[in-house]
Amino acid sequence: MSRLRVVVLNAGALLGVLCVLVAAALWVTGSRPLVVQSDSMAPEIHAGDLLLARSIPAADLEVGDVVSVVDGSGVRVTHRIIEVSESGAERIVRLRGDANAVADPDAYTLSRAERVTWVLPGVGSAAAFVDSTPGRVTAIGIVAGCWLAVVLPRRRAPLHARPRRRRGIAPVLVGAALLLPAVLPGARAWAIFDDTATVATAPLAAHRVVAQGQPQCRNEGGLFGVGEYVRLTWPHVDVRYEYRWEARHTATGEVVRSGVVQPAGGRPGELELRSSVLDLGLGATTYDVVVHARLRAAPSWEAAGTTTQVRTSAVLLGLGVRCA
Amino acid sequence: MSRHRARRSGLLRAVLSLGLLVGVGVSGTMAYWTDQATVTTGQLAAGRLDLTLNGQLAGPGGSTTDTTFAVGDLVPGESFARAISVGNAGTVPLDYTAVSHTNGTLGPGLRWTVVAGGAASNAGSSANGDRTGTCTGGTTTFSSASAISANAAAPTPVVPARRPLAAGASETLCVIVRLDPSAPSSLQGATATATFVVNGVQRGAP
Repeated sequence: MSRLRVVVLNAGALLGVLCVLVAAALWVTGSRPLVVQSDSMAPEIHAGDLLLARSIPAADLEVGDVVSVVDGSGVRVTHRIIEVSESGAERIVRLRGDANAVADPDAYTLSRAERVTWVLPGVGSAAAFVDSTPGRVTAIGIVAGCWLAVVLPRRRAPLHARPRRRRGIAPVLVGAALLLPAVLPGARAWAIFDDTATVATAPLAAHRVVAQGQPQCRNEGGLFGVGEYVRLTWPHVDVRYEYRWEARHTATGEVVRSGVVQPAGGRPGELELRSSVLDLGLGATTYDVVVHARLRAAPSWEAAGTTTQVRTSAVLLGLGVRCA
Repeated sequence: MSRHRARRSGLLRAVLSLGLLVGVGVSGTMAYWTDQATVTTGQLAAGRLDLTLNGQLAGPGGSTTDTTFAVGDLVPGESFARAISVGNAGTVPLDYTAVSHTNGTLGPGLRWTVVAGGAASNAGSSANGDRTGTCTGGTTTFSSASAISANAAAPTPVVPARRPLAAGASETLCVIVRLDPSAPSSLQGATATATFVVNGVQRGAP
């Protein structure tokens, strides 16, 4: 029983001194203790740590300070300042957790701020316990136990008991100093915890229209030069394509006729040019026939054109067209 | 130790123990004063929040390339669909959002649709120039007739509203990329890549 009494008294004195010392230290320095809830400020601050924060004017804030603020929904956030801008005597800050890849979504307008000045690793769990109902019950229980230990009469020591060592208050105070971080009052801080992952696609590429091969020109039809015409033929290698053609007067560059050829699947591209198609000219007139491959789905997507020359000629009974 | 001294020492210690009441009082006061969110006793959530993409990137941060998210020889009007799997490999529920940007000269000609929870399917062939990608089911979170941002510093939100993911759960993001039917001829042969940045926050975070 007396051993228990000693333990209870020593524990009570020790813890009591502790609480008073810490409360005094906090009051003197104006610090607020905060219990960290998550790892968003890792590696400097981890869940379970205790932070000591001091209230300072917002004008003293600098980028890099760790501050604890309460947002609009009443949740406390403790993160590092990444941006400060002035708004009169107030400051608008943007925060980001060290372990977070993105900044907090909201900016905070502050006239004063709690700036973190100390980190006590691992102390937060003890502080959270003290702040809880079982912790308070334990504390009150210890105090009650101490007073009971004083009030209740002690057993008389037997005559031939071992001599007791002298116990004083000094070892208790030393123990209190050593156990200083063990019991601290605290409030809670919440730091947003997030993770960011990035995925990139492989290259996405657009088509490039490929020019058709140079058309072959064949002279067709006619009898003794009458009603001759030419047929241009080229391979149709892509079902997505159609072919725009134009016939230009070689000397002037003037476009005299144009059109679009849409070969059926498997068929080559074909263009027939007759004298009724081309303008009447005096004598032999040369024309450039330019053919461009292009996408049916997007006619502005064209390839470079091929040029084939044809010539009209005046013959006895009418004009004909011949390959140049 | 004499009985008298022992008794005085005990009394002194009992008096000192009253400091606990001060401590308790201070604790209670400060907790009330500073914090409005109540927390379960003794629980400090050192939980793990871990967002994965396509089953990869466990652990904080990270980036990967999806080599199957590739399409070539696009003609205007063609589209391609691909699902990206967003997973929660941590121990706490999270809410995620996503932003995206393109890189490359083809970027301005691409049009994007993002459907959360959709299944991707592709039809048509490049030979016929009629490929079409579709997302079936799910909720469309982004669809625009304009190109998305080409600036990594100011990406376009493609999942702007937070979507929940329980611990261990996953959701597909079905993405359709289309070459705009009126894309100009100057984009022939152009290429681009797109980057999706998915951000997960702990459930209940402001």
